[in-house]
Amino acid sequence: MVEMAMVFSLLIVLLVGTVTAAIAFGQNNSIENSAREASRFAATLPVTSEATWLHAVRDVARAAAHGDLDASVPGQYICVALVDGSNNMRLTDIGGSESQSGAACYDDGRPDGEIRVQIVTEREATIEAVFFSTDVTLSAQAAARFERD
Amino acid sequence: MGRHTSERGASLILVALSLFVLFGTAAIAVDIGALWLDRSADQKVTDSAAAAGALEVIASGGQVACELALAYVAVNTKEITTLDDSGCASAFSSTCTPGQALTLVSGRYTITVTHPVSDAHDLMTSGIVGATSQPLDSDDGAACERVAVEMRSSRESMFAQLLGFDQGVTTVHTVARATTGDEDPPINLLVLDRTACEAIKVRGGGGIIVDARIDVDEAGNPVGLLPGFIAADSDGSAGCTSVGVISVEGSTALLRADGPDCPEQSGSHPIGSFTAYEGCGRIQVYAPGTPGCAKTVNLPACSPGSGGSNPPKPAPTALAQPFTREKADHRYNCWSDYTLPPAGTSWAALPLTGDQSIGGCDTGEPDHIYDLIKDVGPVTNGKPTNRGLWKYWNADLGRPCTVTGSAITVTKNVVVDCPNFTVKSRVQITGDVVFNGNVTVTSSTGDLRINHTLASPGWAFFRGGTLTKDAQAKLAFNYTSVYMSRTSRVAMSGGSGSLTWIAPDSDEFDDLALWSDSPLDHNWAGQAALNMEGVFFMPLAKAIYTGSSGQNQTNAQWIADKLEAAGGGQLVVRPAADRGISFGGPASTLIR
Repeated sequence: MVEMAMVFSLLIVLLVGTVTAAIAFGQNNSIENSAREASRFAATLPVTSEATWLHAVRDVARAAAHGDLDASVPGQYICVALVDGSNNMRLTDIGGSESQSGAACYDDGRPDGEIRVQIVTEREATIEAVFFSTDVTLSAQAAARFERD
Repeated sequence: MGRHTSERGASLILVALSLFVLFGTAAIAVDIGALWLDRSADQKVTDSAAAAGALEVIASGGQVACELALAYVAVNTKEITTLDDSGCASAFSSTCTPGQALTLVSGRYTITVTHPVSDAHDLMTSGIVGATSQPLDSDDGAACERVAVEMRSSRESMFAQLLGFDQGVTTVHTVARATTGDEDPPINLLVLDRTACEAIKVRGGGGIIVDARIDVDEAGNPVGLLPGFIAADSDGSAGCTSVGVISVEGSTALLRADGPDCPEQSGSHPIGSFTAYEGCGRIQVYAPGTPGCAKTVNLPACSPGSGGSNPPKPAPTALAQPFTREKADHRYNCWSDYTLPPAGTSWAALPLTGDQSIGGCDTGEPDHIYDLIKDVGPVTNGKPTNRGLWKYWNADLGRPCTVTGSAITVTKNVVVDCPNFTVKSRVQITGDVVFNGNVTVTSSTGDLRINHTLASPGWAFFRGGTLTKDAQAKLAFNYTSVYMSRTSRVAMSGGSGSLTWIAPDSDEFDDLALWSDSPLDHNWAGQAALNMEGVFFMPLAKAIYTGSSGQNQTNAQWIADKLEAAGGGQLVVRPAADRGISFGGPASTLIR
């Protein structure tokens, strides 16, 4: 019986670990999908005003994650940018607090003058193993050519 | 004793079983989860890569499309920093050749770029798991407009190895198609001449008003107004020292574009539930001298009548680059095919592009106009037998070349084998029509109708002759696309008659009301009843509109070499939504 208890506790650790890892995979999938949807949407969205454009794309990114990028999610980060090298515009949303700037989300190595959309989505996921737990940062990026210049 | 042994065995079996189940679960949860993650990440990569490639494929060809697609694969894949795109140059020739593809291996990824993508290609089946095959439709475009990116990724299993699966592999692909984006705003009136003065000329009591247009969202709901847009490609280099590319002469002549409210507005009128403001549209000229239009400083762009008394409204601004006829050719025809002489004909009157450049046509692009010219051609071609069953008006049907008296109704494809076809009573032809010579509709009883329907559009072809409509006569082309050869022209007289000219709304000549390869002047005139809808494309001709009185509104997009308006009436141009050629820049659509 003692051996059984020991073996089963190990099995349960493994089971819980597996389940939480799978949940993390699901969340990673969600934010990848969110980056894809948002970049696709942004690529064809005309710019009427900077703030309107950036917010519209951010909203699509959040909605496409179906709750996995809500402001209450630990480590939530969304970055939306329209970049051509000299006239960039960017919106970051960290845990629901926004800020706008003239930077890019990241350096994608594409030449100046090529107008493109950058999206970064991030969140934290927790993998539990009963006796300990670890937080991992999940991150997805997408870049797409802007089709409305 | 027995109890002791059985318990031991049970424990062992239980543990073994639960281990098996657990590893199975772990394999499913972790390994398949990871594979799905790969799939969704790869789809993101192929979407943006195929779209990036398709965006440039028409303008720059397969090699550039391939390089861009690979660049966007690298930008979007975490594990790839750069991809060697040197293979694009040899894999893709400068023309769109069937079977071109490039495959690269980088780490655990295999990437394939394909262009063109033929209709029968495996890539044209949906790669989505569980999706059934997707039939081709008109949105899928031509093979040469398509760029496909396929990505195969493999991943070592963590748990599933124990069950015998060493590796998980997933393959996704995206096919993107090059399209034309919506320009902002749509062009209503475009003059293509590249050097001329007076490319747009308004004189006497004549006037051209380009009205605002209702903008609709994707669901078709009206959301506001788009400004009317007049553009002139001329650079004014033909010596425009006294008159400009845009010329308004006389104190009552008028050139105006209307739009949403602006500070310079000079009046307003309702359109639907919106208000259009006069002079709030857009007038753009490629020639230097803009913005503004005060005679002494605005040449060669614009001359606003004597002493600057009657400027166009709004003042013209600079057009960054000429639009050219390119978009029209891309939609209906491509110059590359004009260079082929039609087999077995003496068709000398091939269309000319004059000084207007047409770039980027590829073999896969539609050449509907040229196909029609090949089939119909000159008078010596007789009946265009490739295009259905035909009857000669005179030789087969026994109808006269001058029609008077009782009405004639014919429901057939007809070649009007008359050097001069004169209509003085009602003639109604339901079918496609080829006119061998001049067509004159005259007297108050003259009434020529070429009838097609919305569901079944058709065409009429002028092999060489003038289409004349006298002041009181009636003329109608219903859902009919008219082609005019290099020796044909339109000569309308305005008055109490009527003109109905409505372009097809489907098929190869969708939205095309007139394609004229003629360099001769085309005369249009005000009518008691005028209904024109679609694109009137006269790239080599001067279009002259002579008003009678009052206003004549057309739902047309006017594209001509030059445009002149004179006489007492005003031409109001208000194109219907989606019934014109889009002059927007390149865009792409994901189709698979």
